[in-house]
Amino acid sequence: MKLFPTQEVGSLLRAPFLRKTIDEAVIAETEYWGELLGVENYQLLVQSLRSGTYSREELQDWAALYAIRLHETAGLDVVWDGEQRRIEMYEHALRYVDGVEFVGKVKVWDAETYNKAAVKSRPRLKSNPYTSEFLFVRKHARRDVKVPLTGPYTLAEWSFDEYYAPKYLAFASLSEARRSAKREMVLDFAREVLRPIVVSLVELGATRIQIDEPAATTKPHEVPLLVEAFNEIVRGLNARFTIHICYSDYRLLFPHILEAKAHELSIECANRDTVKRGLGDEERRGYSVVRLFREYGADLAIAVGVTDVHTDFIEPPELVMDRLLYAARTLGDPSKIVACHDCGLRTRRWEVAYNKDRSLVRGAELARKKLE
Amino acid sequence: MPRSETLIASYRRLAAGRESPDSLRKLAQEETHETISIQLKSGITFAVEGQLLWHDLLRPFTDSVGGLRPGPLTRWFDNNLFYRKPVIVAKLERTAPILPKYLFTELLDGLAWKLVLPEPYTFYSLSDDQAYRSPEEAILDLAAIFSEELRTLAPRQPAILQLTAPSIAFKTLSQDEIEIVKESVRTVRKGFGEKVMLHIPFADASKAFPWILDLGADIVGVDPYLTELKALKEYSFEGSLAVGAMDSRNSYIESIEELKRILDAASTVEARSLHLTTSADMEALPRGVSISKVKRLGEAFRALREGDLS
Repeated sequence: MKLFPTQEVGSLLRAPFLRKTIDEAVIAETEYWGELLGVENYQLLVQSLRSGTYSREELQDWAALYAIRLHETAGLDVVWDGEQRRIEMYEHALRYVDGVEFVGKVKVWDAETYNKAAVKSRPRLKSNPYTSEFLFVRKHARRDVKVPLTGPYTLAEWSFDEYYAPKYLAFASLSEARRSAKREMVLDFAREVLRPIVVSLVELGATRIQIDEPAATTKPHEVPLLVEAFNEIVRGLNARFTIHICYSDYRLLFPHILEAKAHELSIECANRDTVKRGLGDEERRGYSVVRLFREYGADLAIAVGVTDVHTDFIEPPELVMDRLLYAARTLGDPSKIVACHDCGLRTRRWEVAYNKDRSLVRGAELARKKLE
Repeated sequence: MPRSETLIASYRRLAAGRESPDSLRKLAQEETHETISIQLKSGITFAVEGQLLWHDLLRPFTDSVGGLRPGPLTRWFDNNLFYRKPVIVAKLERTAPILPKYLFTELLDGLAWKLVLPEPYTFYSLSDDQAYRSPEEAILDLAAIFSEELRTLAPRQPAILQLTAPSIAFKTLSQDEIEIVKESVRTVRKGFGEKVMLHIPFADASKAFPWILDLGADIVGVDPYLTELKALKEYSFEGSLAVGAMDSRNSYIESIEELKRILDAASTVEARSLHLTTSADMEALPRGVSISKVKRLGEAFRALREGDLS
């Protein structure tokens, strides 16, 4: 089995031609990337951009193809389409759910906001855009495909609750009742929204599915609920399941996360690491979390983030190698370490994303050679 | 209170260099005026200024106190909300008045208003101290700065100073830590003649009982969604109990009957009086929802006052 297989997390900045204005600069960029990535028949896209004869759907297909080729040309083993058809991970996911309504922008920090929804009735999957998305990627990808989906705990935690709350307001103990209501809400998202999507994907032949749960440790006492919901989704299904959790206090996941029927946990580490070379604990402090997996005897593969997606700094392959070797040594089993980015690359320009991909691949090659 | 989408857009334009600080301030002032008017019209007894110029509860101090600098974005308790962690790099010193820059006090003339500040132990717990040898010294320095700041508000001092103090109940404090909290609250209120409220959102306030009753606070505020009110029955309050029956972390607008039911549960606690309030500040709600909540709070207050509900 190949050591340190390489994969990305999901998102990528929108392709240049998905911008509102198509001008000469956008066309030049489209040509540049089309040629560099070997996108088949990209000249047809350039032609239609010049003549203005294109539909939104056609551009989205091209964008997905460009994103797939970007990851493949860089050399990744497992790819996706950069979520080119999705707005972002929360609002996009809820657009296909009945029972929710967007109620307005809320603050995340300073002047950063997101459009927050309220659950108004029991959430149910309204339509499933993920099957056609998957079929397109599978048709065009030359590598393994991993489908990312926003998890039920995060969808519930990031939403208001106007459906379950009235039920619990009548309870004598509000705190206990609120816990019950939250459990019901998360499990409804798992059973009524995520489970049908995942079942349909597996039936179509998806072999790798990633459930994104960035909200996992927001309320530490609810980690068992996250695990319960995850297990509801994957029950009896045959695929490789990953849980992606980023920018969280990973200590809070233990020991409950060990009960998750997942094959892999994808975590962000590079963001909390130094950029110094070396295999010492100080240089590699971002990977100290790997120790927990060893201490608890976790039977999970760990997709460690070895590139920081919030900076344009391109990690040299040698630094990527050090990070992988340190993680492998700390876990005591290199076969369980997957080379990955910290998170999706949506905030980085394509040039930066492409070079981070390449560094990831070359760093994994160097690490592999060291252990051969 | 949350900012409107217009004001948020103005902050973004400012960051991009497409808005002047003066025009943002003018907009914020208009919105503050609206914030206060809505509360007054709704019949809220103690209005808040809204603190729309505050990026987070700590930021005016993080940005202005000597010895502090803004650090990484950090989760605000168990919310999907982040603040800049204050990094203490040297002895904390107040170099110039801070609050007058961050509050539109001219809009508060003659009003019984409530100012919200972080409780010093909580502020320190949320910081990264790289300078002090002992937490106590840093916390008391912070408390002294808050005390001086209160004096800058004269003659428009608030009728209630709310010290937001989730950290004192987020874990069980040691006796030494409790003593530091007591001393720091005493320091803040030195020279401040009005009422002091200790408010504990995001945590089970019963963890801070009974010692919180010895802090000399006139009002203790609890979040009944996280605090079992029946656990407070065994204590006797000399002051008032503020019950955050209006859930400020959810868009659901509670009915007056639902609010009353929660207050009824609280009325079994022996206290001088009950205050009806929100469970925390409302900064993570859409502005429209927060206004609806304020209006409902006023309606509930009137209904309870007039005995419309049995």
